[in-house]
Amino acid sequence: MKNLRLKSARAAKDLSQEALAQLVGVSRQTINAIEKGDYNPTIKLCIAICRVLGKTLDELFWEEEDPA
Amino acid sequence: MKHNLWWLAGALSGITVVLIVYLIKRVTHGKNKDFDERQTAARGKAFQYAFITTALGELLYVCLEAGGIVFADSSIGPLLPVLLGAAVFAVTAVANDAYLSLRESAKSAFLFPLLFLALNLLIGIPKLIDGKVIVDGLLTFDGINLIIAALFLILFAAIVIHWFQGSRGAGGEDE
Repeated sequence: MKNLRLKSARAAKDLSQEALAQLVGVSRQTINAIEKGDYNPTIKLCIAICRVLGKTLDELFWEEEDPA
Repeated sequence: MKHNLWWLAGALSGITVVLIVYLIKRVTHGKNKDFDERQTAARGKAFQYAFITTALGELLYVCLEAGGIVFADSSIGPLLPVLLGAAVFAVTAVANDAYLSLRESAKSAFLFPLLFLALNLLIGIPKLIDGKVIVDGLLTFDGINLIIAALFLILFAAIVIHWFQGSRGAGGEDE
C-alpha cells in the first residue's frame, strides 16, 4: 500500500526524496520504495524519518483497520 | 612443480592485494555503513539466489561429467558455476538498487565493469587467436579472461538497462 502520508509530509517540508534520504542516511531508492509501499522499513528508520519530518510514528506509518 | 609455484605466488599476491584493499577501506571508512537496510536485505536475497545457482550449477557439472559429457578441463569446469553465481548476485543486486553502496557514485558503476571488461578482453582475445582457449574440444583455463569479460559484460548490460528504466520513470522520484 502506498504511503501517501509520508509523501505529503515530505513535500510539506519541501524535501526531495534524495534530500530526505540523505538526512536519514539511506538511498533515494529506499525512500521511493517506502512511499510506493514496496518496502517495509525497520522501526529505527521509521523513527529517523519521523524526526526529520517532525511527525509521529502514528501520523506517518500507522495504518487504520478497515471498519468493514 | 615450477608452474605450481607460480600459481601459488599469483594466488597469494591476489589474496594480499584484497586484504590490503580491505584494511585500507576499514581504516578510511571506519564503521560507517556502506549499504542501507533495504539494500542489505536485497543483497542478502541476491546472495541466496547466487548460492542456489552455484550449488545447482556444480551439481549439473558433476552429473554431466559422470555422464561423459565434458566440455571443460578440470581446472576451469568447476569454476563456471561459481562465476555464474557471481553474475546472478550482481544482476539481482543491480535490479534491486543494491549494487552501489551509499558512498559510491553512479559513474563508478559504469566505469569499473567497463574497465574490467576491457582488461580481460585485452588478455583473453590473443589467447583465443593463439588457439589456447579451446584445446581438443575442451575449454581450458586460458579461457578464464573471456569468461570474466562475459561476466562484466552481463553486469554492464544490467546496469545500463536498469539506468534506462530509472531514467524513464521506473523507480524515479515522485511516481
